[in-house]
Amino acid sequence: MPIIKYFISERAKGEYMIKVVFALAFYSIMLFFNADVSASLYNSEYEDKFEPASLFCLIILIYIAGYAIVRIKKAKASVLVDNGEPTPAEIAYLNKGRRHAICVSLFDLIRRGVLEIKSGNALKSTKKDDRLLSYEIMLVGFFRNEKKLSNLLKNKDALKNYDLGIINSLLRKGCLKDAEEERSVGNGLIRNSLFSLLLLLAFMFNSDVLFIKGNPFFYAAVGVSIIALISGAVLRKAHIHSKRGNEFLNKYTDKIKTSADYVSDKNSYDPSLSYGVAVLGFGILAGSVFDEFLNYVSYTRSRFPDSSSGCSSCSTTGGDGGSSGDGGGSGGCGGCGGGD
Amino acid sequence: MLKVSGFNDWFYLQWHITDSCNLSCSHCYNASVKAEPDITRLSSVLDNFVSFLGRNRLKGRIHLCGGEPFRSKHLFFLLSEALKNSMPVRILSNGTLITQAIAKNLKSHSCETVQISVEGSESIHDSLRGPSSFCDAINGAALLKENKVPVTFMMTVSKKNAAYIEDAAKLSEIHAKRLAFSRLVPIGLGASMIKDMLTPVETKKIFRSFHSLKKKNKFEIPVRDPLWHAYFNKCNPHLISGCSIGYNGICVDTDGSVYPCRRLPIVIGNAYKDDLNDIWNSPLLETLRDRDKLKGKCRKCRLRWQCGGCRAVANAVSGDCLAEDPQCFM
Repeated sequence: MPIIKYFISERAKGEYMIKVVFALAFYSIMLFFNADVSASLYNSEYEDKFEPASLFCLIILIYIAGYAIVRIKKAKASVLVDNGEPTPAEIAYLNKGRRHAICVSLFDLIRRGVLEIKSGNALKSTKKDDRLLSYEIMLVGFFRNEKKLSNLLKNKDALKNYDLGIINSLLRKGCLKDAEEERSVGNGLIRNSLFSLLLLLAFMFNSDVLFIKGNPFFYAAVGVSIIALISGAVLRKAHIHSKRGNEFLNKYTDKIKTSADYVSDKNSYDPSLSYGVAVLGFGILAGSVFDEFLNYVSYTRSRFPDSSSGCSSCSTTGGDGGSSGDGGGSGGCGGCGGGD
Repeated sequence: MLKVSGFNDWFYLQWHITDSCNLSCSHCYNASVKAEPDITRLSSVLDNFVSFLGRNRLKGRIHLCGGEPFRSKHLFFLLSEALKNSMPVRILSNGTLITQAIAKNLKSHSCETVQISVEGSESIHDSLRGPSSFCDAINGAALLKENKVPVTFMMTVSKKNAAYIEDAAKLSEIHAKRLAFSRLVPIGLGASMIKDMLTPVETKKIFRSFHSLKKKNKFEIPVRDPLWHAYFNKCNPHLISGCSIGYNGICVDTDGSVYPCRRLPIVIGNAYKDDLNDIWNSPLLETLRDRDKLKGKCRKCRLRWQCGGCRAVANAVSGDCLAEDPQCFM
């Protein structure tokens, strides 16, 4: 029976538990209003333990904590659809977010010959079809006419489409947790913590129950509600890496750091370099034979051509070592007649 | 750790096609005159180089030098052959033998650059290279410019001429597209000038002078010495650059001897009989490629992979090509 399946599913279990906690909370409120407050405060020998205000705040605490634990635990599950390894751009997204992922995508597409370099730091798509991924198709479409990286970063629609494509790909590969589930948890936390805070404030301004202000449970409940509110806001925005996503990120970080690879050929595609910039940032290209690419794929460099950095937001080396501007020696010594 | 090349796209062959020279400069790295190679031998070197480039999927550039390369009767034949193989050619010369006809011929052979040695003012130039060599060199540069052949002036900096950088800059402003410099390597005839080598402090000072020229002049100043990395002191631990030995160049002498660099004259093979590909995998080059094997302060330096110091200077001073660069100011 579908309805039975629903009740025994993980999702239903979590939601059911929340509903129970909610019911308990309302029940305690009702008890609180119906109780003889002063009698319970001054006559009961168990007043410290069972006073209605403490009980109420305790239930708020349990409610918020219970909600967060159940939902976040449930949200940790990620669904693996595609068993493939993440691309360099996907590793870049996991590592440093969208802007870095876009820069790595462009670098990778240039190296694969799908985008070509034009004058004035512009890029243009070639006709090469290189089995593109959805977010790459979007980039290739955007650069059908000559455009710059800065044009792309100003185009909200293009950024949104890129986001959708790369997040979807990462979800299918099980590298990100379900973004919808995260948002749902975030929304729930915000809704419930706001509700709790309002209740607590209502009690605080009720002259009959002013004593609640001096109660340590009250401060704890307010504190937890505020933390839950902030956590909810964060959860709504961030995509959280799954365990698999973190494993890939660690794997590529270790691989690049322990690699004995030496990349010197500007004209042949080597994915290890794309993974290198995804993990370590564009700073690793500064001063290298790939330095000129930074003018096209680094937002900072494209705006400030004399800067020696790869991309200040991406660089692990703090933008050091570039040959552009005053970055350092370039091209090697070249024997007795060298130098460019 | 993943390493990325900072070397020029062009793999260079510094090729000494003659030992014959009309000057006898006091800092010359050549002390002996060997037999002139014939055209067959020269062609075999070119074939060997083309095959090496093909196997390693490299683009090649040739630096023809001597002696004085304009004394070689095979110079223009080699220029033509290089052109056929789409290889740019630079000629490293003292500039004194360049005539109008030669300059025109160079243009027609698409010579990429002629590098002419200039030591500063006329007096210091003539004292190092011989009487009237300055005027002849400048005339040569003027003829090349007239025929639209790019000129690079090269200054070999020592205590003797370090004060004349401004003079070289003024000449470059008029005649040259670029002003390069290299440090004196006390080998060959130049071994007697070991006391004229710049100290690390003086070396840094000349780097500062060239850097200030780079900012204010219209001619180019190539930043080719490995110590530029030390001068700018910016570290990219993933970058391999600086000293070209074992990475993007090799030197062939008139007798076919192959050296890691002309100023590091340790024979690692012979281009007349050995495959350049085998020579390229020689144990010495393998050792020199690994900058973790350097000694002294170069070994400990965080910039060793992107600088490496000048192995030729280290070898000339200490007799050990892995020793620290004695002029490093880091």
